[in-house]
Amino acid sequence: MAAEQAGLPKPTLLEEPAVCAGIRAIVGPEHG
Amino acid sequence: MKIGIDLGTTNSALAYIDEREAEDRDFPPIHIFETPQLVAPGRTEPRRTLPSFLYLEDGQPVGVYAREQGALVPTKLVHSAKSWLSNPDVDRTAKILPWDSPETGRVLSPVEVSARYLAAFREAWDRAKQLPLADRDIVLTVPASFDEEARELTL
Repeated sequence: MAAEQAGLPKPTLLEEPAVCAGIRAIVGPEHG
Repeated sequence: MKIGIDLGTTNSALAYIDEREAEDRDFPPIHIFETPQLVAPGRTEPRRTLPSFLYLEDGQPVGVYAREQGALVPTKLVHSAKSWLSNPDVDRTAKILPWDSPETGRVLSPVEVSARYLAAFREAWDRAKQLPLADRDIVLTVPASFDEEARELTL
């Protein structure tokens, strides 16, 4: 519903923490 | 091009890879999309993360300025929308935010706030890139603890 309201196509959902670990490793530990 | 969005409780981020950059590499480089956002009155700057905060004033800004201004006027600050989105004890589509406001000041639902963060990414991306974000394949993170309703509300 949120993605649709934002005008985006239905995204693929991926469970944390696997993908977030990768993103956080890049953007830094301040990312919550 | 593949897009990944981490819709976080405190900060959100968008990263992408371009398969065309995979030449002679095992994996294409990951780019962080530096998201332009209001950081002070009248000043917009790109940042590697989009703080997951919304401030209730004209235009309902999200990001750095919303977080900073909201620290001064907490009753106008919407935060922790993701936590509310996964809370089965409330109507997650009801206008219950900002929770810290008097009930008469609660004007947005957790879904609406989450949509505002995603829309901020879409608007910033569409201004910066040629192909609209809506035409890309997007992967969106959700906590493993999200129940089925929270997942549906995210989509």
